[in-house]
Amino acid sequence: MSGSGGSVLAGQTTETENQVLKKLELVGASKAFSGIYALQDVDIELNAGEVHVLIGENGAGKSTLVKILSGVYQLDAGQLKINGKPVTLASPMDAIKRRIITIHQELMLVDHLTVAENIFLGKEHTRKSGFLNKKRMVEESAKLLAELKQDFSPLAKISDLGIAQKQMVEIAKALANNCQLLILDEPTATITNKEVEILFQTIERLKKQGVAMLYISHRLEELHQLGDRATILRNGQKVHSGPMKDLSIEDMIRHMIGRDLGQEFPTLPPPGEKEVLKVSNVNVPGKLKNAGFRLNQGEILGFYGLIGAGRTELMRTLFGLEHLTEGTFMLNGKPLEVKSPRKTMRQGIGLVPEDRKGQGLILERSVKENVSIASLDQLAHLGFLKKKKEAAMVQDCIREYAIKTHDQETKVLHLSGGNQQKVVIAKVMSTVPDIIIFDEPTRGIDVGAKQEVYRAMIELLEQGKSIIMVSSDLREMIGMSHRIIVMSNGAVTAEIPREQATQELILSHAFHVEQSS
Amino acid sequence: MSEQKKSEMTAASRRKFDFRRIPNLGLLLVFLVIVVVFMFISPNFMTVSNWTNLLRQLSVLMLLACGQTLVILTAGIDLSIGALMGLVSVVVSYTLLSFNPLLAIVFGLCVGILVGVVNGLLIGKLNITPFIATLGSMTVIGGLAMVITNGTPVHGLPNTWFFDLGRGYVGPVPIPVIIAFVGVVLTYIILNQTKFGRYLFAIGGNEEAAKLAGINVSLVKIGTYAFAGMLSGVASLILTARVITGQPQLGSGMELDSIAAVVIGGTSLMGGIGSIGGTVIGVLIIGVLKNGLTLLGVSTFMQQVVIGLMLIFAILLSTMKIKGKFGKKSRAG
Repeated sequence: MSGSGGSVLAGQTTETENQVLKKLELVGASKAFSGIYALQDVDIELNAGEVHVLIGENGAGKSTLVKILSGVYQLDAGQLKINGKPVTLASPMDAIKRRIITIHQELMLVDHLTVAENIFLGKEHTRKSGFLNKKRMVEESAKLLAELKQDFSPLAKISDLGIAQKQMVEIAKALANNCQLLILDEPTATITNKEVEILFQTIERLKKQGVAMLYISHRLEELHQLGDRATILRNGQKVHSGPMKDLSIEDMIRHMIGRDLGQEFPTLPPPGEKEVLKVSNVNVPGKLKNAGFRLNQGEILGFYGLIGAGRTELMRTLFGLEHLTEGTFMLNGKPLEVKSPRKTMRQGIGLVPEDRKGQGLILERSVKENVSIASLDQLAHLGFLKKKKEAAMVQDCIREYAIKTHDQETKVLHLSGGNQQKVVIAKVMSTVPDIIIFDEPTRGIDVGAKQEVYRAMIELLEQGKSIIMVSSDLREMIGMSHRIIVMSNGAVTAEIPREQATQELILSHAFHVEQSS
Repeated sequence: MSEQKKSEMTAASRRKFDFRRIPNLGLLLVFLVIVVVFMFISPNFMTVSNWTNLLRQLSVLMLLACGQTLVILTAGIDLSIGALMGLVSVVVSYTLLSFNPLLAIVFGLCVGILVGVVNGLLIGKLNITPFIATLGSMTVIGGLAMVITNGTPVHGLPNTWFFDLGRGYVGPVPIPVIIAFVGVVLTYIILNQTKFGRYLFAIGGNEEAAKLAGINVSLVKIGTYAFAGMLSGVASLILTARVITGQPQLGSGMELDSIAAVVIGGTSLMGGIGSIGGTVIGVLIIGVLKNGLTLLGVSTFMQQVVIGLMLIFAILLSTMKIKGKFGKKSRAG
């Protein structure tokens, strides 16, 4: 990267841009919004060639800290120092000029442009004539992609790539900008294990090249692999900072929530015997090949697979959202109509979708409206809404799912990820389904909220309901499923009972590798 | 220290009258400022007769804007409601010539609803983008109206109570104003008190999430465009009654005015955000500007420039508001 002849930026570079970042410190950092402190007196030290992990529940202050380092927010109190000298980052541009690059959870790529165009967005190579030097940009992009061991072409369109690949494009972009401090916000939330390995290898390489890194993740078990130091935030304050090797996962959790967590996963009640859902011979050209499964009452059926394996697509066929050429669906022994989400929901199957912001919530509307939207039929008389009934029902939901919100009228975009997920769950449950499909139920939410989701799922089982859980988290899969179905390339490759499940076994079927034992 | 700030915040929300909570406050202030300015520079502005005139003239736009508000809230747009007025005017006139006013009204409204349903089917079932679909229907309807009348207005309408719809009064209040008022109230109720209204906001806010929540998106869209078509029909009744002719090009261009009013009123073209109250003020602002400028002798062309500037200003304000929301007030942590 830095060996390929210095800066790849077109145009002149100034003194600050040429400075090598050896150490970045925040001292006594504080930031408040409307009188409430998001960060209070926080110190953090980031060194070149080191991965510094930032841990904390949602609302602890992590994203505020990231936004301060990337120039989006300015400090109310405290100092930012680079190589010992006080520095102000007045805007995101300032941060980028100092080679502080942030890769956000929401990827900032332009869908309709190619990989190379995105990598050099804003810093395109031009010929002397002023026209774009596309050849050079494509060549350099190819070099970066090769370094990251990615096999897609720099001419590929972003919209054709999977999430993991898009993330790699973001990293390539950061590398192209000669970044000195790379901030990674939840990079592994949406990619699977194979891609995580490549990401970690890339991070190791960047370490050797002297890049400083700030790594934020909820997946605590992977942090020991790549973290050198860790800082833990709680309620806007720093509660711990020190070497990664001195921190166990229990330590991390204890610091994050201020108390011991107890068991990571609750005890699963025994499943029932009655078959409630049978799906067979599902064929969707290009996506699903003869897929099917059986769900019994009172059980949690887990679905694992790599991205593109077809798990979400299989669930979507139940709701009429895929172009089926073939498929049989039986609910309690009788045929299930799968023409539209409405029809399926009326027959008692609910879906907590994979993408809560894009599919599960109407961000600009209130908590109340989001919770009630799927069950307005029960809350209306002759088409007119019974507002008191609605408010009462929503209040019950807020209490039952412990949704942390200022009031019912707050827009859901103001809630934390965990609470947003609870709103989606409350919405689905208010239609009183018998079978609930959870697609990535705990993605991107903190430990405390995760526990609450698991507890809610257990309670559903105790009420006689049945659950399908699609997840990319192997620990969660093994901890919370009675049976695990593994999919690969659109087909079901294995069905593993919980007692026999190991991470290696599940993964081998996800990669469709024949197991010798 | 944060505890003290926290208690201050709850105290503020407990205060009985929080000025920040008045909906559309900024818009209302703009309107009042315009009124006050004209009050001072134009002596005939603040008279009963002027305002009666003004409100009667605005009734047509008000009805169109109500329908357009619902359509834009679903992230759609209806370019056909102007041309539809022409078609309804023609149908109503011919019916008046041969039959009675009641039948004319029924036919007129039916045409409005029918065209709206067709729009809704094109957009909701065939998934044609609203701009293109209603551009197409606008052109077809406009052509149809001309074909039916051979390009000439329909004259010689019999003198019946029909004309009261455009020219009559109940006491001091012009009947068109009453009709527009009923339209506004009806739209408000639909938007805020019914399932349908909620579904509308949901579809405009996030259509994918709305579908997954079990909402019959195409049906709601059909209903929305049908409602806009019906209101366009009512608007046409009023205007036809006023000019006592069947005009094939009656509402031509008014669809753009309705969009301007809706946008000035704070409804986002992306859907999901907006209100009838805002639209009402938007219509009033346009009306007051035109009226005040006319009283001052400003040419209609110049008036158009002013309205256009107002529109751009409104969009700038709403864009700034959105940026402000996501920049500063978004969730900390």
